[in-house]
Amino acid sequence: MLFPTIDFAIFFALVFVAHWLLNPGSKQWKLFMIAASYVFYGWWDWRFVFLLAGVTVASQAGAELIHHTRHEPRRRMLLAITLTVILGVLGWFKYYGFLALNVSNALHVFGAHSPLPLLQVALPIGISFFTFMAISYVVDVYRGRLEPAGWLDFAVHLSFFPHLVAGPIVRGGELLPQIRAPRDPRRIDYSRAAYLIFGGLFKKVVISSFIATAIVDPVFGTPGQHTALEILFAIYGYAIQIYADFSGYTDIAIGVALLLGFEFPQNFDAPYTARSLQDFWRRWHMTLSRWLRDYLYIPLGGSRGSEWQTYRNVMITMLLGGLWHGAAWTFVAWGGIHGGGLAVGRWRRQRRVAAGLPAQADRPVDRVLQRVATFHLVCLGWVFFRADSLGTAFEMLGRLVSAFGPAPAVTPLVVFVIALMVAVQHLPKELPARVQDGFSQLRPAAQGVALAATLFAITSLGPQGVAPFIYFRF
Amino acid sequence: MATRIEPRRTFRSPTLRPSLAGRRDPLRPRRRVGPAGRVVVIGTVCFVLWGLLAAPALRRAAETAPLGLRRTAALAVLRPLSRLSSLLALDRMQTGVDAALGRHDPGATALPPGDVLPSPALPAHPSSGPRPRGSPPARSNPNGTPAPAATSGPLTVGSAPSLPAPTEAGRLRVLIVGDSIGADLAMGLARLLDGKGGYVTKMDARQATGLARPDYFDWERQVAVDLQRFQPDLVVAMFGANDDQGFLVGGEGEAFGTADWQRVYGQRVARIMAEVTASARPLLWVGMPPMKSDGLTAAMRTVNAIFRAQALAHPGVLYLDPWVALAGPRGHYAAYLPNASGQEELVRAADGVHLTASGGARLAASVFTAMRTLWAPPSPSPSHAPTPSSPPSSGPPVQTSPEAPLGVPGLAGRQG
Repeated sequence: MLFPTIDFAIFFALVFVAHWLLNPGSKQWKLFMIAASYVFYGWWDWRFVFLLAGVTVASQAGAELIHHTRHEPRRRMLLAITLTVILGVLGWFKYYGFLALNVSNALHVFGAHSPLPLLQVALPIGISFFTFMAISYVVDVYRGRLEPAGWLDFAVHLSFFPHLVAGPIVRGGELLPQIRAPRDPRRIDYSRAAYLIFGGLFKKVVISSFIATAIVDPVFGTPGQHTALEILFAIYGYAIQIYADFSGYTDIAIGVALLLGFEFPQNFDAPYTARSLQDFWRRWHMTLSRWLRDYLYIPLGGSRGSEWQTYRNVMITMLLGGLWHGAAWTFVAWGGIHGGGLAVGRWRRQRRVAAGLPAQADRPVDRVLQRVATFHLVCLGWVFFRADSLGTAFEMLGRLVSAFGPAPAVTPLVVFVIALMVAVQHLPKELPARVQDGFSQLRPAAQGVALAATLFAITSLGPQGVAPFIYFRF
Repeated sequence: MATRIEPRRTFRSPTLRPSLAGRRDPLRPRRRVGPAGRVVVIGTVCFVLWGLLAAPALRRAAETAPLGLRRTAALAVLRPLSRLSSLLALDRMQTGVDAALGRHDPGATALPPGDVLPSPALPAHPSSGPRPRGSPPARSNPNGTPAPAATSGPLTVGSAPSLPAPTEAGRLRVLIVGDSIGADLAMGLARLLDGKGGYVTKMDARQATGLARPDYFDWERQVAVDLQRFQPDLVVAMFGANDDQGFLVGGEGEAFGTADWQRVYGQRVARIMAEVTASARPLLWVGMPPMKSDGLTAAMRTVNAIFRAQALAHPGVLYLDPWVALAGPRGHYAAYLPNASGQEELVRAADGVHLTASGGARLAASVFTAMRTLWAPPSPSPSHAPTPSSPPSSGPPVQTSPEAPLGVPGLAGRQG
């Protein structure tokens, strides 16, 4: 079920009323919320509901066994088994086809046949998100940071529909206490929720759709027909499209959860204002970056070893982070660009510190240059992220420096929307809060009218029918 | 550190009665937080008012949805809402916004006049087809003989849609129209032609469209607009992935695949073919490939049979069977297929319907081979008629077909 649809509006209206009538935190509420979330998930393909249930059972059983086992080697073995099951599910559905294809073609070079049959395995929506949540839960229980939740609590935690298919990746320590305790129906921050939901809808339905149709899809589809300037703006456009699409989704998810009395962690913080790649990853898909840090980078050794080991760990983390997005070499290249960029950034900072300089130059002109450079480095990564093959990505980059000519696809409106979406990220953070404050002071009828006008503007400016969110594929 | 389990509390304190007024947020004094009832009131006002404002668009979306219970239920709600919106003159807002944005809904139209049942047998060359909106410049074929008169009227049997071989100086204008799977082909074909030089390509492929629901998007009209605007020398069309659905004819629902459905659908295909070929412009019609779902594959066989029959009835139309390029060895759906060097490629998207970039390129290679027959004399040489044991260097291995004229595998049609 897509958020920007009538289906979801009806679903949520029913769930909202039942949710508050059932006294959140009660057993009936938990059963209801599991059922509602499974309906939400099964709307795409009911068969994958069993997959979600299976991951829930395996993770919870593993966590319970780990928690009740004192013998450390046995605990470690139980952890390994549980993670193998969860990662096995992810690997089968997401990576089997990629692996089998590459093994087959590698062996073909030597005239051998692959033992792996080529199968096209259907990818369950959101599998990367709920398996990552399950992994963090099991590992937190193993590390003693979390007590195993009750079966119903964990089932709600993993399947809770606002975060189910595209995050944010919420940890057990954040959501489970909220599931256990009743929510207060008198203190809903509806102003913030409305701001997030309607702002998210605008970003997804209007901005992302427009930029995709106007320049990104045509240029990435047939780069050979476009000039350098069109390719440049298509790359900028994709940076805006994916931000509007993904942050729009998570804003709606956070807003919907707020209306149900739940607080999700922030997932984006003006990412295109970042002054370095390290800074970018503190602002972009924040719940994924901290997951990668805590459950991959640090277990690999983090920065505790030698410098080279640290660079290696950064690179492994980002390459696997790239592969998390999709089973294709383009995503590996994207991870490699970010891993390489992070390693070089770290090396430069350490050289400056060793020379007695601040880690990062901080004059106004430096800040501008750092932001521009970081944005363009991120855009370089987006070329590989969006292109359907490495060949297309390199063709785009090649034409960027060779195919000079007129650029009819770069319309004033395209330039304006891209510039606007970069500019709004530099607005003071207090501004949205003030808008929400003002909205909260209105009477209910006036608030309803204001939201109706906003919704009308969104549906009028957007296309008929909304494309699925980009991150649903991951 | 273990998570602390908070004690259960309830919020049914007698001193705090439910109220719509809201309360101040202790952390942010200017922010009022409110009860769930207030959210219900705000949401109800919002959606009722929005429904009235957007009623025309909502009603149209419901009317053009696939036939069935969902559409019926939606219309049962939206028709009275639309009438109320009209009564209150709130529908003018949507009309005004659409006019301001220059949205005149060019694609959608009322059902074409040809959609009438019962219908007589389809004429081979419908004389009632739309008149040509534009004619490509007269060109000579490679042999120097003049092309047949290309100014008006449908091609007749015996006329050849001859085209000169494209060069950088005399570029061939290729229009590619279709649905979303047509877009996959269009992307592959445009890339292929870009690499070869001598072509100007124009794509008009639209998601979720087809020929079954002209009330949702009218391709007959859109093709006429594209011909007028782009003035192509050659048109490539690929429709059908969304056409396994019923439609309304004279207010009556017609289920997919019935004899009347096929007759009406065939008329629509015929009108597009007539429109394109009316100006001696060749049309290369690409059928639908096998799908992962057996039911959808059967539906695609149905529409392909219609495409093939209409292509045979319309001189100047070539029909290309994509089964040859995209089916597995036994003619079934195949997600992976070997390329010319024997390396496996993923050719179908995860949905089991669309093509990957490799699949689009593979089909485009077949289309290009068919295109070349329009300006090159048929030749039995291996480069024109590849066999499974000697696949073409630029395309997929293909099978010869007894129906294939001109030595082009999978190709059916009449070239006079």
